[in-house]
Amino acid sequence: MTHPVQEACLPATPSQSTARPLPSTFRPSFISCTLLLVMLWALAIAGGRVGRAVAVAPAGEAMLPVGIAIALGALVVAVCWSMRRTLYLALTSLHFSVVLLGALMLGTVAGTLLVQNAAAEEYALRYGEAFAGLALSMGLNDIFHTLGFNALLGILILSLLLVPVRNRAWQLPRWGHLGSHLGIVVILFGGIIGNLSGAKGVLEMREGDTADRFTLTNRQRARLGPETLGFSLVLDDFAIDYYDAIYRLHVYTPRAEDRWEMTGSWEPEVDEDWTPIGNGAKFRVTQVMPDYRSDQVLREVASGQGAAWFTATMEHDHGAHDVRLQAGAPQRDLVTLHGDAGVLRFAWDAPSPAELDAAAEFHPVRHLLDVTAADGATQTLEVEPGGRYELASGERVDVHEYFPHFSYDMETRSGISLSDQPVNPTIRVSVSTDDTVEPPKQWLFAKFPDQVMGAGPDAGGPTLRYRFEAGHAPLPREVLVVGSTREVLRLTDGRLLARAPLDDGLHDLDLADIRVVASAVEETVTGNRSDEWNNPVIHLELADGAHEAGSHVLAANEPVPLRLADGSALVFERRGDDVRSYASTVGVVENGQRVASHVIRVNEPLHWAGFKFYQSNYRKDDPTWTGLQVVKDPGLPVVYIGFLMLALGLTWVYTVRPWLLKRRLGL
Amino acid sequence: MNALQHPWVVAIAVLYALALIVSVPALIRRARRGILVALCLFGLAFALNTTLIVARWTEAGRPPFKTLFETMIFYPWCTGLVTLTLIALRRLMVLIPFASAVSVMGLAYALIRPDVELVLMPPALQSAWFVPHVVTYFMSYAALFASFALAMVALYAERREGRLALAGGGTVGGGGPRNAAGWQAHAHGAAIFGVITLTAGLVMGAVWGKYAWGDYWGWDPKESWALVTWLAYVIYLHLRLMDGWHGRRAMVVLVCSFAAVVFTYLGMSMLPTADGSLHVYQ
Repeated sequence: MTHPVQEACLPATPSQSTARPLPSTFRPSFISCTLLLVMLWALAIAGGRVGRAVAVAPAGEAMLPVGIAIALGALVVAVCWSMRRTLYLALTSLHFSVVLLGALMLGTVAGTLLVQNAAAEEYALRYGEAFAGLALSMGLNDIFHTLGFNALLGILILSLLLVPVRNRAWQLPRWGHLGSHLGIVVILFGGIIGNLSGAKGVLEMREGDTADRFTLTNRQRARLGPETLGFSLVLDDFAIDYYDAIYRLHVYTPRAEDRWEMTGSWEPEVDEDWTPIGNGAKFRVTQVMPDYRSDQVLREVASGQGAAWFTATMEHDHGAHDVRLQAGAPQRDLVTLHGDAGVLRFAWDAPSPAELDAAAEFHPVRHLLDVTAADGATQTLEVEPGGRYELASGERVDVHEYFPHFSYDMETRSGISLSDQPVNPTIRVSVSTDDTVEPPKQWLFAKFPDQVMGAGPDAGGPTLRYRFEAGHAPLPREVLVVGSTREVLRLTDGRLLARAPLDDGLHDLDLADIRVVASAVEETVTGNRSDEWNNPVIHLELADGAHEAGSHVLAANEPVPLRLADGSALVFERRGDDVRSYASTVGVVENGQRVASHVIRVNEPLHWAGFKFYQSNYRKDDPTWTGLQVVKDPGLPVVYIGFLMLALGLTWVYTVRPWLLKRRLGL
Repeated sequence: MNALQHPWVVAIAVLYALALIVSVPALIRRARRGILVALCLFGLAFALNTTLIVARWTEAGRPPFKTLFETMIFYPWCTGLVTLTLIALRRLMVLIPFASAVSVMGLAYALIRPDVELVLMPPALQSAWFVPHVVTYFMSYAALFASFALAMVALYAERREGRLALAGGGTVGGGGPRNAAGWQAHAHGAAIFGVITLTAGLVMGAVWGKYAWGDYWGWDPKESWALVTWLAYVIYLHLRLMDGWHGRRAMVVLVCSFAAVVFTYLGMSMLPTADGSLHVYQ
């Protein structure tokens, strides 16, 4: 910071005090400088417009406008030359600098108040058709690249070039002045060089792709066309690295318009003390299991107290899975084998010849109705869906529908079947005495014969019970493991083909770790497997003003929100995947030779042969895809030199120069 | 244990508030002892503020300058550093109430809208430029705040001079210049430090932008407003060289220019162009 003494040594108005005496009566003022700026600005825009018009006019028709433009231009130059001293004094005056900087400030502010580079429809939507039309015609959708804004920058360059001349800024104490003013000119020239001879585009690749060209884009990111690189880039690998999963207890509070805001976040830690959530609610975590598991294990028990089990590991193309078969348990005693090998079934006792014969027979599915008439007389009917049957007591039974796997759909309020398997065989029937009345329908369940859904039996009417006999078709291929004899039977269409001991009877089935247990029960074992946060489950006690403390088990991988009395919700969940880095590993190929490798990350571009490649895009649905931004900017070193000149120059003005002046004055 | 849990922030805010409450009457009455008490309170608050930032840095494993909440704790620290430096160099005790007031405001915001949980560093911010860019900018904003405060004191001093022409009394207690011109020089000095750091921050941001996105300038609203702020202070520097703009008017410009700093720091989300910005605090 400058000391007041140094301040006092600075000439109050250096530009005026050291100005070369020029014979001009011009006294700069804000009004005159504003007028001058407006005139210069209008001239620059007009010149730019004419130039642009001439450039796009057809060759033959350009003669006249070019002539007029040259004549007008010459006139302007002549007028300017005649008043060059006044212009020089004005352009290098402090008043003009303030007016010009103020104009640039206004333009910049405008560019932040209006949405830039958006689609035309968005302007109409935001600002109305009329204003949108006006704004677009004036280029206000891209203020910073309008002729008007560039004209201001042009005038700035002109002024910045003249000011150091007027202030004799090449003298040592004024180097800071020179640097800070010319620095800006240098930056702007660097930008112009970049615009004229640079290139910008995108390069999108999948792993394994090689590219020797990229796609040029404009400011609106529209694609213009291909551009060659002069070398090739091959994408070896693209990887997205995430931060470690974080599991937290979150509280969400409802805000307006279905928006929930996270208002609390805690680490799931066992704590004796209650943690307040707000509005009287509080929680404490009593147990944390980072790697919770719930397994069904077999525990051997005394003979007769458990079931017989067959366990093995079945290997297949995608790995292996455990097979566990329980003898005598429907559905649980068999597993489908891969390919056309049929099924593997486990039984404790070997089937008797009669059972084998039965297995080889074919039985169709049967629907049976046991009817008990009002007078106690019974009768059994075999029915078919869609059929109509007369009862001995005179009533008529209509069988409407059959649902092998009945379920009631609450949405459509109708019965449906979830599958073709006879899991819950159900039929819909109606009983009527005459044709005049539409009889009420009722559902009959084979598994729950005493329940009736729909209209119940009329008093005095018959009672119906539904029996379902599953059909049986012999299995084309069956491998039957017999536990008691440790034998393997091979059956085809229910006929016994081969018999072998267990030890080598299953060698063709890719089964490993084969084990037969005579008597065991299945038990659920829960607990924590490791300290890895694979499947965290916590026990939590929650109390809020309205409810007494309740105990909850929360699993982060299946988050269930606990609603609190104030409407907010407590959730134990995994925090969203936060990306740590995007990395494209690329190789550079020149003349068929791989000459370099590089990992491109955000903030770590690849520089090669004048091009820079930036990590700029990725696709959620394609982990092998990467989007690189390609930039060629020969003006960059110039811009950096300008930055340095500006920063050092400014520092010089306020540190070195006062020191130099002080020394010169002998203080 | 979260290093930004309320008790810490409350304690620091209370200390700054006490410094404010003690310093104002002490400065007006020129009570030497009261000013010293205020300085001690301020120094203690600053020390705790430093500890809090260090603790947060350690806990987060990254510089704690990512979110608006975090900067609301860092900005008081920066104004504290600038204030204590100016007190050490120039005995400008008058800055204590100003710096305390702005610190209390920042910390109050931090208390009302704290970060619910730690925000991880996105790839774009993982750069060696992050700390220099942000710290330079915040030091600049703190220095420009000091220049704003000193300009107000200078305006006040000028009014008092005009009305009372106090003999040797000085403007307020706690040291510092005895006339308006002296206060103006101090305000200007702080502004110059602010402009130099502002320029450095702007240039660093541009260089970083080039590394991260391939563009050193993209007319992002925050960039544009950083330029507007810079232009405002450059206009001040030019105006101050002009006849008749040395004293009172220059101070008015300094006071007004600080509005651009405040808007650049806090106002971005109000802009319709903020949606696409890479700088706006969420």
